Amino acid sequence: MNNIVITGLGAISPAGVGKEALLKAIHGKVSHIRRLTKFQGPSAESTAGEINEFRAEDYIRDKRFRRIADISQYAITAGVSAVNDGNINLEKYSPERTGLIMCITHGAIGYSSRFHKELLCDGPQAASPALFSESVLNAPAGNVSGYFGIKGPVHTLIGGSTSVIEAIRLVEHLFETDRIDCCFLGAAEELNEIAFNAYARFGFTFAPGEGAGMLIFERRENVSGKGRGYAVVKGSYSGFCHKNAREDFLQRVMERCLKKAGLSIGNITNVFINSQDGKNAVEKLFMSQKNKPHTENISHLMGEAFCATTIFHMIIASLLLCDNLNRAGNVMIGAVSIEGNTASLVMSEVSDLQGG
Amino acid sequence: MKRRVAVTGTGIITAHGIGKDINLKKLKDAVDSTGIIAAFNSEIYRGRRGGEVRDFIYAHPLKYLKPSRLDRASHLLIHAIREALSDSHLEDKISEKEVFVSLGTTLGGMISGERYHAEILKKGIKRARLSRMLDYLAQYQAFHLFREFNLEGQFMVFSNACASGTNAVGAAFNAVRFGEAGIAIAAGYDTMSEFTFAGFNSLMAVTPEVCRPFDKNRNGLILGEGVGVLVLEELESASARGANIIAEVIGYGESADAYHLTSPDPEGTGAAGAMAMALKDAGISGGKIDYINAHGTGTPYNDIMEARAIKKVFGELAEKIFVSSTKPMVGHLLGGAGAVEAIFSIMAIKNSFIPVNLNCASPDPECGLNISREPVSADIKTIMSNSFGFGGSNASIILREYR
Repeated sequence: MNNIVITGLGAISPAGVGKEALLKAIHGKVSHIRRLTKFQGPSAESTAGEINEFRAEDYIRDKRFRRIADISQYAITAGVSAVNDGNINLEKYSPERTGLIMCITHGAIGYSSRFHKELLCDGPQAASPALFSESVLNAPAGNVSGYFGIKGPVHTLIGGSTSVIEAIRLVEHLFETDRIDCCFLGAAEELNEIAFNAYARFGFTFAPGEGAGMLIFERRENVSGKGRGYAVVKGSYSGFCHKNAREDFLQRVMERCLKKAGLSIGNITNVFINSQDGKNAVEKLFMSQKNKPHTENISHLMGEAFCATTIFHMIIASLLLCDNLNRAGNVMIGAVSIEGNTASLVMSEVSDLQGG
Repeated sequence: MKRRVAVTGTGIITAHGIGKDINLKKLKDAVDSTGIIAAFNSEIYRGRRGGEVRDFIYAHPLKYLKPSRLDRASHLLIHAIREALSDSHLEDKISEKEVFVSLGTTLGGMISGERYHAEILKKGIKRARLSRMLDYLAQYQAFHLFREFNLEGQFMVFSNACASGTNAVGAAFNAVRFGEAGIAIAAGYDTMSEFTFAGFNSLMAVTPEVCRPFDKNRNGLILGEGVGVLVLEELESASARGANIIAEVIGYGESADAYHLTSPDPEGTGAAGAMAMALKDAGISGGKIDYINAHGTGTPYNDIMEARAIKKVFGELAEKIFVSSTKPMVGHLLGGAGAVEAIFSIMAIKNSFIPVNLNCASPDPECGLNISREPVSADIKTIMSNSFGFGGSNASIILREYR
């Protein structure tokens, strides 16, 4: 995907709105995980990466989109942030040739549980249709597409932290088949009491998080004159490990990803990985390297936001790849889901050479 | 370079029954397999009918999974995939090959989710049966498939409401024809959950009577449950291994309305765009389409929109091409609709008949389409199947007899 560049980065996270907030958190190692306030957690000491003091009206101009589930508000806000960041003029693209891929893990469980409670406690007449329509899994994508007028391919992919990397395959395909000229790739997650308590009961000890991120991809020939863009995706790969040796499997996935990218492990300067299994796999993969890559995981600072965490990693990677002071070489992003799905992608700076 | 994509196996479960044979028979005989819903008390709702899968509890035998831990969605999916793999003679070999699995669903394991939530409300969040959450999220059905069939490869789970099944088939089609996968398994599925039924009732989308697509007195849809599975392979490889080539997928188109979360763009511009794109993708003109399996939900808004879209794309041919919706027979399977209707389309091609559009006693003149209201035998070679969903998702797939 060397001729497709990332030109806009948008985010809303517990650190605030915008890419700078994420970068500041990573550089300063500032944790935004605090005591949970939005609902009752598994214990009185439960912590989470919450988004607080967010006013939708500050970012979402169209009033029709303000009274929607948090996850959709986050997705639109991330989109607005990305468009503004990249100074993207959407009017130069035909709406039918603009695409959107949204990745979701849990969806608007808050709205669906409210609808279900109204149904069970007060009967069908009391159950609000607005709650139902917003709880459909593709509501965030429908809302983002409606807000920005995106009429090309619009998809919602369901998955955990790996779904964003799987979505890259779709983005790549849509550009290569000349179906689109511009693509929004987003991920969104909202905190919800049911999932939080269930994970705790299953024995998971991570602090959950929420937020959304959006990347905007454009063809390189369409962005000349306003800078080269942030980064390109050089290669990606994913697979499902239904055996116990997840570290070995992730290592193989990373190796295949590097091969697709035409790179070797010595070319990787930074790694973002979302789990301990993943971190162990990275250490094994780079064991023979004298200069080990710098490894980070933003979920330690923001909470585990599943697919949103992966897109946060891509946003930070994009910024590191064009940091004039401390530029990264090539950045690998790995993701391992709780159930064993593993994925990896490699991002690089936008090259001056034609064809990357 | 685009490769030809063959359908080498199918598996299907609907209100018509379990498996291809019974579904073909009842499709051809134009049987209304909907009835009063038994899964929950439907008396309290505006509409009471649905297309439930009867006489099916578990997929069995299960090699690696515990039946009690799976949602009904996984059971339906596993059973139908088993049929499709057997149909394609891959059941013993599939674990040796790298496959791409493409799933489409609106709800995932919603029955498990609503039962878990009901227990939370009754007993408290710490006492609800936790195992119900093991198959609630839509990606879990994919994980269970990979475990049960010992698959290697990658998957995507699409949730674009009622277009999900066609999106899943389209993604699998693209993966095979552009050389990303030699074998792909595409499936669309959804179950009859009270949460979803209540949701559609709250939107006044469900009919209190029968589903009448394209009838001037139509007043809503009937929900259904089920699953459709297609095994897609690169045609030359499939022929080389002696596979039975059932049909070919030749074109796919998709778009979005960007209009409203639950209502389609009344002008049908997005839907027309998806259909036109599918034709262009297939490299054929509208005149080559022998039959359109319409989305045809029976709601006032969808059917007129779809009719306008068909006229935009096909012009004068729109009055002549056979059109029908199979939803009155089995209900609207939501995420399952696109995949099931692709299989119904293949059955029509293989058996030379046009599926009947039930309950269309008075065709809506505003729609102005050639609705197939009686059994028709016809030499069908090429079919377009449409799916349009909440959020403005539009998808269209074109299937052709194998030559």
